[in-house]
Amino acid sequence: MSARDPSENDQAPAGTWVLLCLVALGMTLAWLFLYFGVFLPRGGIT
Amino acid sequence: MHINALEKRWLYVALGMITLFVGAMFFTAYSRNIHPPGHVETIDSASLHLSEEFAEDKLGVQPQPLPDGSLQVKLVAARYGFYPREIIVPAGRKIVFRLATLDVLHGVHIPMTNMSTMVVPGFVAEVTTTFPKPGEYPVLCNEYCGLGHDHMWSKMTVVAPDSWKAPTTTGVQP
Repeated sequence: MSARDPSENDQAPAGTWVLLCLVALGMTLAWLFLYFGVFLPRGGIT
Repeated sequence: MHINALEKRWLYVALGMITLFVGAMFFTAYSRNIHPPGHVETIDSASLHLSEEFAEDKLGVQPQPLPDGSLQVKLVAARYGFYPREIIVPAGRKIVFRLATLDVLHGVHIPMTNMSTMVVPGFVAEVTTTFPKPGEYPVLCNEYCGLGHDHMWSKMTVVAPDSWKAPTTTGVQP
């Protein structure tokens, strides 16, 4: 068995990339909602 | 060092998210002047009941607001309760809590709000916050303080600003 061409290893699978983008987007939206929509409206602590 | 193209993308996405989150926290902390409580004041916990400020008849919501219009609330935490057992404060107004413990380490936590702090023996904890929503909130101890820890709670009622009346006296109500 021969080693694969390095350029082939560098190709990102499109499905994995899409999945990553969806998870990242969901996590970002959830964090922004919790911070700006829940945490800050409850009043700051100083 | 060789890094796979997909791993590089994951790295950039993660770094971008961290930058966004930390940046949002720094920006809002700076623009809204939010900072951790930094008040340091010592007190003799053993003689708290004899002190000028935390004697039994001085506790609760203070009748006179502070010069900036905020209300001051004095609470004593002791195994196993917060005294006075109930406080009533208006919504949307700055509240300055001053807390001291009579015995061991306690914590004050008011669920569904951001109010939370430790009450360390020998120190006065001072925390400033605002409660935007009227309602009844439990005041819980969140530092294990003994066998009765899970029964240590009191009540805070937040009322609409126009239906709130300043108390005429202080002290623990029977």
